[in-house]
Amino acid sequence: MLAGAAITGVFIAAALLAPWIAPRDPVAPLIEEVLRPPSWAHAFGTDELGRDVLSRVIYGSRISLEVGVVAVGIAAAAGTSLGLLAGFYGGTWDMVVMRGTDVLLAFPGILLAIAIVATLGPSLGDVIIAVGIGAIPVYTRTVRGSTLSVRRMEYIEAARAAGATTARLLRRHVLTNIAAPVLVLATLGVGVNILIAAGLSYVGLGAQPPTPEWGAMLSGARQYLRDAWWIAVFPGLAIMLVVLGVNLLGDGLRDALDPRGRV
Amino acid sequence: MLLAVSALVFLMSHFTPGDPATIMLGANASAADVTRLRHELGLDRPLMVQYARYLGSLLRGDLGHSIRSGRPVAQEIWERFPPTLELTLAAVAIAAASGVLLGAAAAVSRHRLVDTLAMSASLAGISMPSFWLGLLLILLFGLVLRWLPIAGGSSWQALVLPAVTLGAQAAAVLARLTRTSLLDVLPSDYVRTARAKGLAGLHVLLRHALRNALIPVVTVLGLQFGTLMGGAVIVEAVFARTGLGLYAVVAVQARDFPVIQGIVVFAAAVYALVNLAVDMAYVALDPRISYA
Amino acid sequence: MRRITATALVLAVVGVGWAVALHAQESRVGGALTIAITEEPDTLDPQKTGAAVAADIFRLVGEPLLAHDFSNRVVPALAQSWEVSRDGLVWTFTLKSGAMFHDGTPVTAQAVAASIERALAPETKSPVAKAQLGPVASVEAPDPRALRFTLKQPFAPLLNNLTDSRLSPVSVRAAEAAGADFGRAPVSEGPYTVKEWVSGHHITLARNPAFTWGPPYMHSGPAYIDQVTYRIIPDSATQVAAFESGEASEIAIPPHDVNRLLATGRYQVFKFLRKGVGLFLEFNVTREPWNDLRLRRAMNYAINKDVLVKVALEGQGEPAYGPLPPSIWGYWPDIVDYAPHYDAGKAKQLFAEAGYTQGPDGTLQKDGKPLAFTLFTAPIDTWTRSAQLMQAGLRPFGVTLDIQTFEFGTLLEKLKKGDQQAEFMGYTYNEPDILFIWFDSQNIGSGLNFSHYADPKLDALIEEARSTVDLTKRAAVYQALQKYVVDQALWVPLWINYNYFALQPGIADARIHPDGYVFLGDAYLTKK
Repeated sequence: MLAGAAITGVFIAAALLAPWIAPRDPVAPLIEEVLRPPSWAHAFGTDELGRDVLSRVIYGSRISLEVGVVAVGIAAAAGTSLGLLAGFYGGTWDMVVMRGTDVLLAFPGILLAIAIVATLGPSLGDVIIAVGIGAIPVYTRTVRGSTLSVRRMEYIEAARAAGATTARLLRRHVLTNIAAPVLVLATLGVGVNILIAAGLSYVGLGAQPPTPEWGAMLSGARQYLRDAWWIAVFPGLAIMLVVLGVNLLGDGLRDALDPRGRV
Repeated sequence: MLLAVSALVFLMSHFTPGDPATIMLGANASAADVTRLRHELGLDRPLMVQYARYLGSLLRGDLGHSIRSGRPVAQEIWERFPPTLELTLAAVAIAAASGVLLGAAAAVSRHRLVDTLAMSASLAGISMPSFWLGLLLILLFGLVLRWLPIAGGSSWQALVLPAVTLGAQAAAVLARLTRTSLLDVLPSDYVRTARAKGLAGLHVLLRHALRNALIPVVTVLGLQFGTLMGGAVIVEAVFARTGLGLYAVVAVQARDFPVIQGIVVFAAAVYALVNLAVDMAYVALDPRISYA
Repeated sequence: MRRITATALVLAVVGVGWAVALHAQESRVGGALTIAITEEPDTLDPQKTGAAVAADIFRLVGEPLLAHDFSNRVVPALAQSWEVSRDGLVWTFTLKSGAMFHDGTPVTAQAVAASIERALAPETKSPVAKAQLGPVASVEAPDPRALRFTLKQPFAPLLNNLTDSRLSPVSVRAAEAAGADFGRAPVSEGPYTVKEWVSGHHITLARNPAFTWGPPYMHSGPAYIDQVTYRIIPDSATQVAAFESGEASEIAIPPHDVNRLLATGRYQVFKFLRKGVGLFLEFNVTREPWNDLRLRRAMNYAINKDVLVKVALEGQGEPAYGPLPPSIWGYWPDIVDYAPHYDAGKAKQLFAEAGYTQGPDGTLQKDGKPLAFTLFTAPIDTWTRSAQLMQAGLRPFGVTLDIQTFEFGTLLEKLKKGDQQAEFMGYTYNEPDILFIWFDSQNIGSGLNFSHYADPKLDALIEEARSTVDLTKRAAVYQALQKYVVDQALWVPLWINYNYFALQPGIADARIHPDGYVFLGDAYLTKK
């Protein structure tokens, strides 16, 4: 877990400090330096428009982390609320929410995102929304499960009898119980969302040029693979490392917070 | 279940910008023409009626017509489905075989090194973007070593790289799962009993341990099928294979909504079918479970 | 006795020689070619498509009335001769005898007239037929081999336009029978028939053994190659890989791979200057801020075309300065000096004259509104690179540009409606009459006048150019036209690319045709 935290930390730092640590402007073409291999001047080489790949990768971390976190935020917020609603009030609420969740789950993740992007139009913002919506079901289910089990416990009845309001109950008992699993899900979710968003940008449905998004950078790289392998290798490596870091972090969190592996 | 799916798709289509009749007739259509076409298409009826008509046509297998080519969507999907199916099945096979083997090796091996290596590999596999893996494989096997073709041909060799790329992530998931599952099962009572009876290690492994460990694996495989279908979109783009995935991307870029909706409904239907098959396989694998 | 022997010997030699030649011709028959294409045609009905790739394929499927030979002169194809009345209003074409449609029905003048009427009919909604046939009032067939066009006024582009593959006659009877499916398997009278179309994958053409009515530069008789398959491979890197592995016989080489393929020395490589302006920036003058002429002129000075050619085309092209390229007749060579070149100082001056001042963050502003616009473009590699280069190049001037990419068909629809502020576009054509297609006000909304610019003075010039038959006079009008278009700054012409085609060794007698394609009518395979 420590390793995960370390890796993730590096990328977060890169994202926050990008304007200061990136050696060049990520979108300015340098027409004299098209397709240069890695060297002292350009640690990761330059791409087909002469842009420094290292700078683009660093700025790309901002975009990817933003995508991952915001999408998770949307999913967690919506999913948790729905899960609470379903678990606590039960009855019709439960049925409605669960049916809705099942519908969302009926679609393979990427296809759902594609459908939503088709409705809204290709852009990074719409990709975030699409990915976020697709991630909602996991949170709904988990939160509902936790809420249900907590609700049945005796001390809740006791507290109710003592006159505690619903809101207070929710806050004190349910939320504390679900905090751990949701956190784990969220951390792991960031990784998955980054992958899906990068994939969508790769096929041209997400970030538009000249945004230095890692997936978009890889889509241009295919034609130059033969003599400019660096355009393809480094952005992809970045994606993998970020997701790896986040996954390790999530795994570690899960082991620490919930050793029974209920999640 | 599918009912709800179709409802969602229908609603989404309703929110898309642009009036279908205007799009179909083009910019110079008179207002009278547009109104007439809207009436023909039933767009001026109340929402519920439109939905009912939509369901009716779905049941008949009519998914509408592509805006771009004018041909029936169902036909276009059906024509492009085989390569995608081929790719997905190949990926499933590779994922299942390599994932289970890797996970089993990790669980059973006495050497910690094998276990660690296998788990690191699967961790990397889950974290790696499929298109990156695809590009790397193209670089290594297609360009540097020149062992395998990289153009979207139809030979089995052309299927290898895309299938491996698509299956890698699923393989990693399955490896981890198999390992955990086996580790749970191996120390259990009946395995020890079997050993005590003198049966050889491998035999025990295959007949008893694996069989029970595979139950969650099969379930996950079914769930992964959906992810694989989605991943096919990306992998087809990387390897320039013409199939349903690539068609979906083109349709989105062209804002060809009937096609997009058609693909989504089709994919959901296939996914549902697969899960049904998985449920049945579940029953076959563990006779203790049955659907009362 | 000697004379008889000598004569017999000569006859024998001639006879043997002729037999050998005939055998050689016949033994050329056979084999298959695979041509890689990037886009799938929307339809192969030549009267309903607007896609260039469909026109390319139709060069093999149809045989138009006339053709261009290798010196760019108009020569007979389906029509063996033609004459025009004194007043230039009545053109009569005499068709070759023996021509047949792919369905076996004879190609009579009536059939051809019916085909042309179908092209012009409003229900067909042909995107190009009206522009190409212009002021045609009626088309008749006074006898089975005589086709008569009556025009409302003289129309200079008529002969050139009749060489376009999309005006090849189609069997109207077959079209009516097939209905909507005609576009998947059209029936025409060319050297190849459409055998099979597997959506998203390939289109296969089969040799038409009855074909004998080709143009004079083609050998008399049907084509040699048995089968031509157009393989749809949307990704250029994959196309190159397919070519190098032998799966494709002919590709259009993407700029990046040109030098490498040339260096191998293994392939036949044809190079020619595109017959059209490969990329231009076009302003929609009905939308802000491009309704201001001064601003449009400023942009013409602010964009560095040499950079675009150098980086986006990797040097394989030339900058464009006007609406016509040097490769089309009617091009005015002095336009290079007349039109604006990149000049940062002049650009800044013109921006200022248009009322724009530099705001605090460096962007140009007028009345508080920043100078920013969205550029519509298509996902073509060289276009995307050019867009990004242009975007970066305009930033120091304070102009902000956003790039939005649409699939080509969708792009065309949006442009017709005028949704855009500005867009990227390019074209290939073989007649200066292309200026009618881009700039005449009749073509706003239903045609390709995407700048939505309506100007009676421009319309009048275009009309004059279309109806002047005398070549010298016509060239002078086109000179005036090109000047006018540049003055109105409706476009910023960007570049004209070199097209490279690569062919596998073992394909003999393929030649580059001045209309910009590889002519395969005489081609045969040396090893099958």
